[in-house]
Amino acid sequence: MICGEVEIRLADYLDGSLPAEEAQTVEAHLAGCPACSELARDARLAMAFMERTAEVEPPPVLLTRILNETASGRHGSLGGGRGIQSWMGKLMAVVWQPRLVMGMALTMVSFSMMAKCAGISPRQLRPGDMDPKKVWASLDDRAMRAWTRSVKFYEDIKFVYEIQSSLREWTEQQEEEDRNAAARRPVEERRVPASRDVQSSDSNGTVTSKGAVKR
Amino acid sequence: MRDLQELEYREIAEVLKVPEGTVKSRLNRGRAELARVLRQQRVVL
Repeated sequence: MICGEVEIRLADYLDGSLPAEEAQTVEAHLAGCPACSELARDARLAMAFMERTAEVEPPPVLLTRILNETASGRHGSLGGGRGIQSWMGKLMAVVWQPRLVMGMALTMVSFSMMAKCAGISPRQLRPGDMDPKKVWASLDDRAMRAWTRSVKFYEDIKFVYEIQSSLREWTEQQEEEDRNAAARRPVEERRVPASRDVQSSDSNGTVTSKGAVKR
Repeated sequence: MRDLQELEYREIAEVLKVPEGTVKSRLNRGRAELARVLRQQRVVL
């Protein structure tokens, strides 16, 4: 078998779909031909690499970060500099400045908190959503829903607050009436003979309760 | 097309309008080239 024939069969050989007889012939050639054996080895490595790569999904946070970075306009023009390397260099330079690490961390935390509040979980984003139209449409949609939800939440809170303040008013009114009643009683008590003067020198509440008990 | 879209050699040959043997030999060369580039980039294979 010559190199050209091996080259054609190599793909099937690496797939494992070559008949055993032909596979043996290919192996025999590979053993004696350094060029073909190197080709086979590299092709096998690249194939394995592609298989691994196909399974790797970019971390969802990356998409969110890219959106944040490009939307802010800070790194909006990728083609403007000296290409992707200068962009990466700038990005890494920012990353490695210790003073900015804290700020960056805080920014990311606040971004993630914002996203959480708005109901935009970074986990919900998938590379399939990479189509910018789809991304912004879904973000708009989520933002809209989040807004509606927060308005409802606000109105619920307002309603609860109104009930609470009404309750508080009623309680205060009740307490006011009690206090008025209590204030009236000692006056009545003070009018009774001196035998009860000791009690009237106590605080209003005590007198009231004692007076109430005695009456 | 083969590794990502998982097309058959026959389908690739139809799309590219080249013989199936050419698809296979080009695939090997492409894979070997990819391995070479990755090695240059110091990517662990």
